[in-house]
Amino acid sequence: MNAARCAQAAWRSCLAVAFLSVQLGACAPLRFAPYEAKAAGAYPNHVVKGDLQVAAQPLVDEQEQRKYFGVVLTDVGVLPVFIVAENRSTTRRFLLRDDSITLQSIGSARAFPKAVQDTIASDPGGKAKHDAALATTGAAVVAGPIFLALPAVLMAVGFAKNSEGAALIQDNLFDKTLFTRTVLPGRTVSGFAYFMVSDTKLVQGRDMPGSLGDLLLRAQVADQETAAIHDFEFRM
Amino acid sequence: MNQDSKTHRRPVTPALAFLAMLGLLGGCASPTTVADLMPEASTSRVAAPKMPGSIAVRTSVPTGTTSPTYKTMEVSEWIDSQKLKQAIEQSIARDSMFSEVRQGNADYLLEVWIDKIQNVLDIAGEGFVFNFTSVWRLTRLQDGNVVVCEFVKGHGAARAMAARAYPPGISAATRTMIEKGLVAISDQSQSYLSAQSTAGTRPTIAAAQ
Repeated sequence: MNAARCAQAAWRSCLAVAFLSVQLGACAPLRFAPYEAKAAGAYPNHVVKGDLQVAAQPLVDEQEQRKYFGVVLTDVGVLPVFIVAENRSTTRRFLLRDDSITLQSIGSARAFPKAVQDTIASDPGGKAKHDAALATTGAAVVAGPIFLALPAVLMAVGFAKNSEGAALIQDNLFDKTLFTRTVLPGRTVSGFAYFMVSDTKLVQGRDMPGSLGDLLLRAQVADQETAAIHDFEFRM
Repeated sequence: MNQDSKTHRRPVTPALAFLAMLGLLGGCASPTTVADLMPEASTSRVAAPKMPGSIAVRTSVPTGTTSPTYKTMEVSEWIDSQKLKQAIEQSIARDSMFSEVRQGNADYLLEVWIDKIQNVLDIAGEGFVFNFTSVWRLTRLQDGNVVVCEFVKGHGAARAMAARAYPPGISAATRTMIEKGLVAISDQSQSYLSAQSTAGTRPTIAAAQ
């Protein structure tokens, strides 16, 4: 009798644990490690101009990409570059515009597009699509009207275009993006820019056209008082 | 016969009571008011120099949660374009941020798109969480210059059973979003253009009929 009761209690406990596990598993969102910025001077690829110090660091390590993005972006030709801008002035403010951060091939001078787009702005019928998409409670959109133009990339690494996992990855990439920011006195801003460099896996050699060493990143930072533009260049 | 009915009724009664309780717990989410969605009055905004000219507000809000989300659900009982518009207009007027809030032609047009409404169930932490992502664009209509175009997030959470968590969670997320959005359009110390390169050229939201 006691053995039967024990077995019943054990079974109930198992059921409870299984139920809780399923609930917690369903509730716990997929999490990605935050990418902690170091001081700009700590990156090998940094440039100082007056009160400004800017660094650019491509993230090509596969394990690190899985840790921070959940996917290996370079496998499908997307290069994530981490950018840090540090304002050492006590009074001056600088504007770092995301559209002034560009990547181009040194050999061919070809400029590579960013992997960010707005479905509303980029689609002539975007407004209707926006409303219609939103009305379907998310089933027809990946992660809202603004998203990183990476559905094909995510599909290539095994995520269905409209899957929950793809949407979480898109959200995380969006949250880690460096958008236009004012660099206030004594402050630092940082984040990733994602460039669509190739249709295939990124080559990490130094001298071949289309390889990492052939890429040049440019960033323009504007002094908000004088409107003077400071150019920064980084060989990847 | 009576005895039979009673014996049949007995096991059903607790189940009915349980269902009724679930109904009470899950189905009693009250709608929100415009006042619920408004952030506290800000003394710093009231003290800040008033923006010269009048402002009109237009909003676009999804009718339900957007992917990825814990629960796919309708939200229009708690937030919709009209309520958000009124909450923003009344907050701007209360804090005297512009000389006037107008329904028609104005010197500035503020457009707010809520692009994402997502929820998360954080059992060990905040409870039922709502996260909003929106774009706030302020355009000076005289020259079409976009003065502000900023991604603004809202976050709200509530610890309550089932649907009772929705109104306070959504209200809190809306209040924090409006609070940050008002800072973006009133703070002159820095530029708020994070969404400019991606959402700066969005078609204008049509005026409400």
